[in-house]
Amino acid sequence: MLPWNRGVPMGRAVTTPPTSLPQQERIILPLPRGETPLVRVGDPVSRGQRVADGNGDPLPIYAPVSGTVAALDTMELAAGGSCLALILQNDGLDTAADPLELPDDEDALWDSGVRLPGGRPLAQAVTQAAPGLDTLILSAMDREPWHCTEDAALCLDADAVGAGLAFLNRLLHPRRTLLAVGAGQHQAAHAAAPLDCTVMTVPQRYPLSHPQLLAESLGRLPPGQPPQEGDVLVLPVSAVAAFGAALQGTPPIRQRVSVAWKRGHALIDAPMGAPLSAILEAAAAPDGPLLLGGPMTGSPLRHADGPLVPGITSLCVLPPRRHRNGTPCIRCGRCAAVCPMDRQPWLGIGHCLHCGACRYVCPAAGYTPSKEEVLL
Amino acid sequence: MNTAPYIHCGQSTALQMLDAAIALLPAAAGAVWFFGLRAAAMLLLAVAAAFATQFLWDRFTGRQELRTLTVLVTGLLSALLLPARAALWAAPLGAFLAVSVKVLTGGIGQNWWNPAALGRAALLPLLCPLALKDCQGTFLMAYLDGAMGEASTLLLLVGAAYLAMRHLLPWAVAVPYLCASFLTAAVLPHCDPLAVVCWGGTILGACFLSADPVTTPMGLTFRVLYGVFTGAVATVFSFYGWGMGGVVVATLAANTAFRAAETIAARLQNTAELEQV
Repeated sequence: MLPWNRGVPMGRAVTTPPTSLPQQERIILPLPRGETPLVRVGDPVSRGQRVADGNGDPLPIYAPVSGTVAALDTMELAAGGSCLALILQNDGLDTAADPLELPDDEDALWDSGVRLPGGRPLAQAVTQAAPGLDTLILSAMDREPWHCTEDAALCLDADAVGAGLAFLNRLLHPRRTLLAVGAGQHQAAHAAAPLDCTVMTVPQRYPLSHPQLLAESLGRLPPGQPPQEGDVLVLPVSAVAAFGAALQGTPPIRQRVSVAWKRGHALIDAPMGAPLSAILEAAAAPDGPLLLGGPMTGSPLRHADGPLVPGITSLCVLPPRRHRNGTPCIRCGRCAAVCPMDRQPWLGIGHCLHCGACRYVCPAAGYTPSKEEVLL
Repeated sequence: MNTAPYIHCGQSTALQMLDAAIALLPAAAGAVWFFGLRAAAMLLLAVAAAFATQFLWDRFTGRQELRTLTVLVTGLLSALLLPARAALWAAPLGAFLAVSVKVLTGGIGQNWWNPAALGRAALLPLLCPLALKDCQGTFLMAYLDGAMGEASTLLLLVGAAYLAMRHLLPWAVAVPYLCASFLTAAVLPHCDPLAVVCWGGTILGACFLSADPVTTPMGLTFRVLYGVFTGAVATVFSFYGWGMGGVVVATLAANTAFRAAETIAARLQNTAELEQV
């Protein structure tokens, strides 16, 4: 089934040249998964040096700036909880370490330290799909409206995407490699032309860029089957670009973060470990409740004091909301009309992606409608 | 801020009902044009009675249904479904009955029967309806023997176009309704199928009574079947029996049958799904 008439038509932020974050004095590198620190307090570090090691899910961590290790302390994470963290004092000299050299096999994926948006290691997704992969799909579509990190990754780092893609093709031998771009992403489609893959255009409707829906519609996966267990692997282009850059010698020490709010958005190129508050400031974002991720499925962030960690690719600043109770369901059926999984939400059965499209269109939901909340 | 999603399309029940009321305005204006101040008085009385009834029921039940503005549509339709020669108090009485039965059968969202149709059907014994087969004149521009709302098909179509523009017209009901109406009329003796489809009552039933999301089925299959059933039965009833009353009775019959069918189907589907798990 091609669910392409489903979902909600939603705009996408147009990729703008990224703004580099000014030098940060202190860089905080959390070690939430039990990574082993390779440096001690007082040690000098250079940019790109491996400062923590991991085996399996705890991945290696590279220093995003040069300077000294100021402390190894417990810290509170922005998403909640606390963990051990390396705190680097930036000396501002930007002394570079030797370029990263990765082995030419599966270990390169683990050593690169690249994580998918959300925090899952890229290596884990790839190795799980490795035996008998049929279709490899790179997605240059952002998961949510308002954001443009994936589009930016393809538009600005097409070289790195090519390098990462060549490696993955060599490792996985997929029968075919596809690249999904949204209908409006002309610049991305142009950048993708020289790559060794078939470019597929997908309607710009939320949530059709969901990996499972891409796998079902482009990879012809049976509906309802999660993509990573089948013979289709969907990878976001930003992770492939980061991996490609690692192959070319630059470990993932910087990340582009898309910051969006009601009336605007910004793309910030920030070093890992920089405080989120500095990123918001650089984006000139207004004050308001913060969301980690997009406006449809993001999760609330209590404060912006925490550092940028791998996996955070988008932030939202919401307008303050007035509250109103919902009204009773009037059985209008809009929820079923937009559901990409062809569910009837009022029955509560069937597999749900938790995309939120049904609640977005529900006229009885407890929102105060205001024109500003209608997208872009 | 409570749970995702944190943005909304901006549509609300009240806005939808306002749109439905706007779609009825051409027909209401036509009624005032054709029947004068008496029609205006009936419309105002019906809307006022609907609002007052809902306000009192809200005070009594503690629910807040007035702000969904459904009673605006109920009030307007209650008046438009009546002939202008009906007694002046018939319109507010119909609106009162419509809103009361809606509240007593569970309130907005839970009621099985289209409120306006129910109010009109309750008044059926008080009126002397005119069977369609005895009617004279053309329906398209100005037909003055029936209900106020059915006077001009053109004005109704203007309203239906507005509904379609606002994505509130249930095509899956309206199109099968009109087709079934045409085919049934073609089978009936001495019946002109074109005249029946051009009759305001058919448009009211197909586009306005069926646009009430609460009492119309949700699934596509049920919607099509609902349209076919209502169109066919309404044509027979209105041609031989009660004019506009036939449409109303057919709508109520379809409401009952299809809500029951839908409930049973949902139960069966739920059970099947649970067994699979």
